[in-house]
Amino acid sequence: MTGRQATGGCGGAGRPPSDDELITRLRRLAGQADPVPESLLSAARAAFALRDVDARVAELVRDSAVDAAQLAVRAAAGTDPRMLSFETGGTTIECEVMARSDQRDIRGQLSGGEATSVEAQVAGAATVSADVGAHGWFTIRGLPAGPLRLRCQLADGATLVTSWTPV
Amino acid sequence: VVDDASNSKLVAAAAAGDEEAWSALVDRYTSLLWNQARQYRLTPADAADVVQTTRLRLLENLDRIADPERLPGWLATTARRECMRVSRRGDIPRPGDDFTAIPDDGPAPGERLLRDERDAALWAALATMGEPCQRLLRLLISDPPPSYAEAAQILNMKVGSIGPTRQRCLKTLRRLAGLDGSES
Repeated sequence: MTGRQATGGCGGAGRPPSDDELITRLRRLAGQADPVPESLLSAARAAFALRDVDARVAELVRDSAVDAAQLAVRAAAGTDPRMLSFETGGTTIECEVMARSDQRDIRGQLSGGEATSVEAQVAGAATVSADVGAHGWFTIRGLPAGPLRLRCQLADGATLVTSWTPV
Repeated sequence: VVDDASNSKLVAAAAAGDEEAWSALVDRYTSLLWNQARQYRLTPADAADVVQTTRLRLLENLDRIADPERLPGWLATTARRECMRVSRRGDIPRPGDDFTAIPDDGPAPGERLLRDERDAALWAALATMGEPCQRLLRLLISDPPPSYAEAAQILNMKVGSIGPTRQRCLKTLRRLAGLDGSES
């Protein structure tokens, strides 16, 4: 792009564009060169159905992908599984996320509570259920990449969801 | 009417289950969040995940947003954190693997889609600007654009310095793109 000879102002009138004209033109160019994807616009309304007011939210408290960045550790991407930890009250969900191109496998463990079932919700995709084994372990394979939430039914009747996290 | 409602009203209505209010709230900031994510050169798929995750975080926190008039700042902070997260997930080693949320100096996103040479030059010139100007201008060209008060929140600047900074950045851009009349 350097060295290109531009030909005068906006519309070739020879007058430099005003600030407002320039902003308007840039907005138009953004819409042409890098528009918001249609899928994202249509997903907005659909997301509302994912609201779960009765569930307790377990916050994301650790993410090895981000922790490594903050510690300036050059994480060997693709070799180590990513570790995510969610917590609420005394309940913890630890997950190992393995990536295979656009697919994700998750192995996790819920502790500090007894889960009877776990399901994985990826925004815009189907929900996948998993059984919970001894010591709260569960495995979910073949999830699509995208924002993920785990939804756990606890033995005491409560529902626990993890905070939305892109995997 | 919903389109002009304050964030406080929309957040309260959405928290009470009003889907229209939710849509209005989300539509208000989708372009802004998209521009922010793309500024960090995330792929379209990664940028879409950032925007979608940011929305879902909002949905999850509707009852807990302490000050809805600070929502733009909250969204921008959430999106910035998610930009970092998605850039480091997955199984594809990234060149350098040292994402630091600073715009790189590659071609501007979608530059090749602009047929008009002067448009392409202007779009490319924006991508060569320093981070403060790029952040401000990409924010202000969102559709709908944020108010100066919102822009100030998002950028951690004083409201009174948005106008002068915009003016200064546009002057630089005009020069970079050869639109300042000096070559005609």
